[in-house]
Amino acid sequence: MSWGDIGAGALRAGLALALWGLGAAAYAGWKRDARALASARAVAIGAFLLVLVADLAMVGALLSHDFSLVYVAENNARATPAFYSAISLWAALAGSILLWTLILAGAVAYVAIRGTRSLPRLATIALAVLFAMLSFFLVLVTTAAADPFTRIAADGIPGDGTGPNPLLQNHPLMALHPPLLYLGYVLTSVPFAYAIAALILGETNDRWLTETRKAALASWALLGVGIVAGAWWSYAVLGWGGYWAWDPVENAAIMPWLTATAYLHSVMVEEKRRLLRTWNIALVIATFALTILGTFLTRSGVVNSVHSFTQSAIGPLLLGYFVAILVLGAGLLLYRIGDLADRGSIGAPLSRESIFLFQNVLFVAATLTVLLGTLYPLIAEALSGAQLSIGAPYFDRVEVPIGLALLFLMGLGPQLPWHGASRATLERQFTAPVIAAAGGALVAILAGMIGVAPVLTYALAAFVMATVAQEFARGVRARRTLHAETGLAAFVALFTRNGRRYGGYVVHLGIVMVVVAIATSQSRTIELERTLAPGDAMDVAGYHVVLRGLRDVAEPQRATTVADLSITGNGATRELRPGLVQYPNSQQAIGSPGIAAGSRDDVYTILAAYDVTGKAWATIRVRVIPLVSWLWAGGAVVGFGALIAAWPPPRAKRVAVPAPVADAVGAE
Amino acid sequence: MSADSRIGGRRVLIIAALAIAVIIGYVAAQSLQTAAVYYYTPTEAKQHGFAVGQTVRLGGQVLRGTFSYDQTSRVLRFTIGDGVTTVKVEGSGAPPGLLSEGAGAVVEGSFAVDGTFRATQVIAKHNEIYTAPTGSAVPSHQTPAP
Repeated sequence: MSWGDIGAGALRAGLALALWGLGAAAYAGWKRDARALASARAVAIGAFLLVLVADLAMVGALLSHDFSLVYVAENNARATPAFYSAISLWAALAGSILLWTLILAGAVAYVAIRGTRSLPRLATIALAVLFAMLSFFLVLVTTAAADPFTRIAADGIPGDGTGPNPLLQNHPLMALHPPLLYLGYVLTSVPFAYAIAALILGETNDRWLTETRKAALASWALLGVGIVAGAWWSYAVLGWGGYWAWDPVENAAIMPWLTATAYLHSVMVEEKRRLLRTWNIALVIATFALTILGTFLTRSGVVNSVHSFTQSAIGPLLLGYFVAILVLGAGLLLYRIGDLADRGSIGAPLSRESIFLFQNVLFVAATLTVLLGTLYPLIAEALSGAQLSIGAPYFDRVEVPIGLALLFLMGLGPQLPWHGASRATLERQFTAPVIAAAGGALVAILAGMIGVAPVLTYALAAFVMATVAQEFARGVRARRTLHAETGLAAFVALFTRNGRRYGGYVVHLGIVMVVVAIATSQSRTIELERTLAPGDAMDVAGYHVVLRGLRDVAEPQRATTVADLSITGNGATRELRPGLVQYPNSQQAIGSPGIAAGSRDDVYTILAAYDVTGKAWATIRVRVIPLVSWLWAGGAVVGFGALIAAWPPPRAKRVAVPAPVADAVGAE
Repeated sequence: MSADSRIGGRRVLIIAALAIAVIIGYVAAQSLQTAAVYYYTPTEAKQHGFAVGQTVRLGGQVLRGTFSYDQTSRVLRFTIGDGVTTVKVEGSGAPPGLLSEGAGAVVEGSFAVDGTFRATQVIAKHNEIYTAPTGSAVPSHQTPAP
């Protein structure tokens, strides 16, 4: 039996089980039938195991270079290193959808095991919704839409494959970024399924929301970290010295993250004040729908080129799926809207809930404007036939002011009490942060930042940092007087006792790091390009760059020409090897930058061109990019803060507590 | 807090939220107008007759035998064509790694007085992915997405 037989067979059996599970869970929810529920649970685990077998079969086929499969022949070669062979599972469409299906099957099994213990009826209906989604994806991977196990006729099997896309086998970050994003995408389906279940059952309480808090937080954090990992990959691989280009693929990832961020905050208004309930369900539906819309836009090719629309059946299928989600979600929400009416309203403009409201308005506005910029080329072509592209200037002009306003609210919100603030409260809470903001602006001006946006970013970043520091200082002081703890013990206890709040502040600090890194690297990068002969040098921003020579490096899977550079400056000497890499499946060489990363700045070097005949000269582009490392570090801090926020408090051993993030992830 | 002041506060909130939405909508609409860069084939661009200095994008194929890069002045020259019309392109800086003769390219910039296209940005198109514009096709900005 071949890898292809195992994989294809497992997926077909998995589809049968998923359909069975859908029927069993729906029946169990409708009739409150315990035997049907037990059956649905067993089937969920079985379906997960089968999809796992299929994914492993694909990895096995890639590792053993089984070119009888179209996917392997197109995305693998005998010379591909084992590591890149294994991660080629997500190097192209069909494999990515296969991984997606595995994560979804994991989510189904997780809800089946953990969820149905605590909230049988709600969770059972949610399980049915998740089984329906799993069935859809299993249809994709067992039909021509995205069948990863499509075979090549026995007489046409090639002796060697073409290998993965060069850009996808050039950096180990490729192992991290797509799976993180897919985990984030797929986990948004858990809150969605519970929200739909609550709407179907007419449950107007908040149980669906508390039950899915960890999943919502996990999906948000994984999406965020996945986006930063993607930016890092783009920076380390694509050789342009940037990390974000407002490309449709990037926009597709950021949009659900924006609505999920809005949701994580507005949820607190519902918990504390029982307000915004319709709004929260709408955000959950929108977040999930946007993950599918983004996948549709980027996978069908509709945004890049209208004409590749029909190349795979996956485009129309995903569009249909998206429309079905919207119709189901919006229809149910409208049907139940009378039961969800808020009792009470947000009053004072300067209260925590009103800041959350403004924050939500801004996040949704950011989502809609990104969506508009992404879809506008399609709209314009449909209306007038004109072909155009919307570049970074649009997104920068619209999103930067929104981002700055959000940064301001990030400092404001946590410092304001619920229901409204008095003048005395305002003075107590904001004296220090306002002084810090002025200091931040001064630092920016002294550091030579030019322009309103960067200076304002520094001021607001200092404002937020001061509010966070103030919160921690007050928390520690309160614990020391109340519990007679040492300063350190009190500090740690803030995280363990009230992880959600103080983990949230850590997330805010991570965001500040990201924002400062973006503002600084965007406005203070220095670039110089020179053509050098071996032995020549160039000076950029305090760095002395010497071209030692050019040489060829041969590896089984690729041939590289590297420029040996010595970088001296700021008290250190580094050797960098930017190169141009030639893969056999690509006619043109791709750049491979040499990067000397540092906490102060990165020296980013690119071999832009060289003398092919005699290696007598090379054009070297050097970018000195300040603080860019803080962007990746900030992403890690955001993830760490989310982990603190999701960690259950020590003594609270309730039966119904959902597992921490690590479990939610590990279950896949 | 009295019931009256709460209603007043609510009205302020709604007006403020609506004002934010209107401002963002206005800025977005304005920015779309100015940030939109239109794609043309060389033939369309010639027919359209652009003003000197107006930013446009041209998509076409780098014609064989026209590509040159002077490593000391770092001036990049090539001609792109769509099978009917050709346009001479001049840029500064080393060519992107994927750019080569016969391959597709998209250049952003503007026409100079002498009819040369001064490119501020040169985007190479991978051979297998890019198809030369044939009247209605949009040059695909293919990203190496996972």
